[in-house]
Amino acid sequence: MLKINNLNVHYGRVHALKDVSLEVKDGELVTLIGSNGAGKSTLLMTISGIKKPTSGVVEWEGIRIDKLPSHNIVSLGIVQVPEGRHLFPKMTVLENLELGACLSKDTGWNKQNIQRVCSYFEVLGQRMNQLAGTLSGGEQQMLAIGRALMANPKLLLLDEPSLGLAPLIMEDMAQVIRDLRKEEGIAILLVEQNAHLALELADRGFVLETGSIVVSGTADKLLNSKLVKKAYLGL
Amino acid sequence: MKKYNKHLMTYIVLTAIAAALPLGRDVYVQHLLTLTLILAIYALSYNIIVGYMGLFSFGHQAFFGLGGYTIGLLSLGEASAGRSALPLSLAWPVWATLPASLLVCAIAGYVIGYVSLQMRGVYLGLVTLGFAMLIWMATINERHFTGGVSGVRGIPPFELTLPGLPTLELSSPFSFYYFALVLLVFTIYFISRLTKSRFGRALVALRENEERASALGVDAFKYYLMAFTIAATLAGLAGFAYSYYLRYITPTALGITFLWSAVIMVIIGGTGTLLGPVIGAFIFVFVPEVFRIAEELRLLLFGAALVVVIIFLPQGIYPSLVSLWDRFILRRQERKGIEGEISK
Amino acid sequence: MDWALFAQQVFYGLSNGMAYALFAIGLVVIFGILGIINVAHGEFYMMGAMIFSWLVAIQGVNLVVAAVIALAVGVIIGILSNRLVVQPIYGKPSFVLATFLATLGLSIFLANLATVVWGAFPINVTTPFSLVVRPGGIAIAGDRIVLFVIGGAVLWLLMQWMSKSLLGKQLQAAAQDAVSARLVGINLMRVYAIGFGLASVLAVVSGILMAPIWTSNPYMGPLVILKGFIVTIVAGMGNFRGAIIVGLLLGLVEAIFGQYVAVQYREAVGYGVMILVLLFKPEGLFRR
Ligand SMILES: Nc1ncnc2c1ncn2[C@@H]1O[C@H](COP(=O)(O)OP(=O)(O)O)[C@@H](O)[C@H]1O
Ligand SMILES: [Mg+2]
Repeated sequence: MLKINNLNVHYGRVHALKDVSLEVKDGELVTLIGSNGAGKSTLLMTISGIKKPTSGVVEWEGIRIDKLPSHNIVSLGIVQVPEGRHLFPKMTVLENLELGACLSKDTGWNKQNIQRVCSYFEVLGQRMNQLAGTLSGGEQQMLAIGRALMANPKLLLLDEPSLGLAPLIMEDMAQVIRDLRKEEGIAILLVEQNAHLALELADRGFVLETGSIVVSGTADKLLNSKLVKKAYLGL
Repeated sequence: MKKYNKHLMTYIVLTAIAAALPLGRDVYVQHLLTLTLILAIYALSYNIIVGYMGLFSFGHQAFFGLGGYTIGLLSLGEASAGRSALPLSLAWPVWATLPASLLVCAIAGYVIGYVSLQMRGVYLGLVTLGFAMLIWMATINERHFTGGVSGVRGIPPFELTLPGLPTLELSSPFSFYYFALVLLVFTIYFISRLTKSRFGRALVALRENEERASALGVDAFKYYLMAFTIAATLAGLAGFAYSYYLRYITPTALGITFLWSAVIMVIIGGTGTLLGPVIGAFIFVFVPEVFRIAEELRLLLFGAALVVVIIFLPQGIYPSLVSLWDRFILRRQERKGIEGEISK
Repeated sequence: MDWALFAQQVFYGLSNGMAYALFAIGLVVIFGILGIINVAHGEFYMMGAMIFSWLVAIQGVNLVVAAVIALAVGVIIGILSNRLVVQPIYGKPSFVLATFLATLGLSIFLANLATVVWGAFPINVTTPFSLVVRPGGIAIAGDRIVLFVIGGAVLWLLMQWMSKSLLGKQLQAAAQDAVSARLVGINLMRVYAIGFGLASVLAVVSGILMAPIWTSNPYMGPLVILKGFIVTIVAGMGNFRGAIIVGLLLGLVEAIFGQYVAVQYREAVGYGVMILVLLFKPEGLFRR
């Protein structure tokens, strides 16, 4: 459903993505691995329509979306959980969730949706009226994912969800990602520096280095590739 | 070296043209030309802050006005003091009022700069604006000392007596024009030397990337304060000329309209260049005259022009003209090059 | 101590302060949402006051009709300004200063446009409320009571709307994190247009309410915007509640200072306080 072809993105003179092509199929969990500054976040921001590419095509369910404004892309079902959570810190958990659903007019549906989010993240249910900025790091990450779920995504873009989380919470998060994919059939593009975790979850993966894709293939293949072993798994 | 000579030649030709401009014109045009030169000095001084430091002060009008008020108050003699009902009758001559007004502005610039230059961006603009408004208000309120809203009137004409020479009195726009031209040429020369010096290069480094320049050991605050003080002093020079030329000065000269004028001249003309502000001053004075625009439409037009320039020519008119010219020359040379190839 | 005189100044000061708060809150809306300073906000106020005064005092139009017309014109000017002046430079390098200058150009334009239309003379307007009652020797002007009641109601409604309605929350969201706002599907351009429209309504409302109290002239924009800067800086840029409190306090302090210290430097107090706050607590007195 998501098809990216020869995508090039610049920040002024910095060439952040060079001829990147990749694909995410229906219900698939694909991961994008790369070290800091490789261009992973840039790719997600370009898919979301926040950053405009200099050339190349982003296609979603057969239509081109690389020129659409970001709110149209959300309404087509591509929703991003940005790196570093980026919640609305001075609003409550509930308000953050409501804003996640701000494109849907159906309040009944939204109530149900909040229940659904709470079934994944029980803590959020107990923190509904707390300000988002005062949550712990793990809770903020849950809220960020919850907020994205409120928009009923067909494709979820997750940017380093494990960043700064304790190992135990990371395990919970991994379980939620598995569930989302299994129970709801949501396709996921997971960006990670933590290659262990990512390849354990994913069907397929891509490795991005300074803006170019250097290796791609099934998760098993990547786990056994020399480059990945050396550079990302520390073996 | 060759390039330097070429620049020098350009400036000599420009000065010669400027010197010829008022010849044979009627007094009104001569008056406008003189005003242009004085405002050009003011715009150039503002450009030191906006163009070379890359910062925004919204209090520059205060220095212009302070320069004007200093000479106004110090030069009043018995006769004119009676007329403006001010207690002062010092009757200082030009060679004393000039250093005095520059000194007042330098001190004011140093003090205000010292306090405000901790800030950046719009905040810097607002603190300096706050200071300027306080000075403006004090000028209006301290009537006994400053003449209040009606200002200082009856300033004696500019008179310079040098030993062994006849007294030089500049009481007509025509004669004052050449004095203003001397001041302008001095200002341009001074700024061009300044920007080519180590000091100027440090300023440009700060403008381009303050963090990196600071990391390389440039003391940003020191350089900014120095440049701010110089800018204030030059604004005082412009105010000095303005006050002697019109022979009166009112609180308007340090009020918000003179901030507007500075912004308009520098932004429309083009920041960070020597000729941009001069062209800005020329446009500011002459365009409304050429189109015979009524006084109240003048600022209306420039307000709109400011918006248009910021949207479409963010560098200002002069730099845009220069790059257009460069491209034109380049294309011609390219074509010549190609023709040369073919003929071979 | 003459308590009646003191109470008189408190009333006078707080009612001026209500106008400052109402005016400044519009600046806060725009700064909060777009991160820019709209210099032309003072001219939006001036336009509101001038249109209203001109319609009522010179054309003899009914008060409410005049207010509605002034509001409509204000909203149109606000939305057009956003579309034609701010949006074209949005997101360009040194955007904050560029918009400051562009809106400065707009303010010069509007002030002089108003002079061309109405002349430079001040317009005075009286309303059925323009009468003074004197309970216990304190002069209470009806127009100031109207200012209090309507101004207070508008501020209350605004706060309610911002914190309760979905659109209000979208505005807040855009103010807190523009990228996240886009990622949840908020149309930023629409939010900016609404923010600008809302801010100009607030400027026009304060202009209308102050028209019977101060005389109106085309050149009052800069004086008013400077008050707005003082309030927003002292309160902390982008702070709603802070701006209301500081607006009221500024009016109060000016009145007290004018009565007991030096009437001719009444206006200077604000500048002094603004400079001190910028130097010692540049984030403002109130946290966001
Ligand atoms: N806003 C920006 N302006 C300029 N350069 C940027 C910006 N954002 C990212 N970059 C550059 O683009 C490259 C890729 O960055 P990013 O996409 O954030 O990498 P990653 O998410 O893989 O760490 C880096 O070299 C970074 O410096
Ligand atoms: Mg990243």
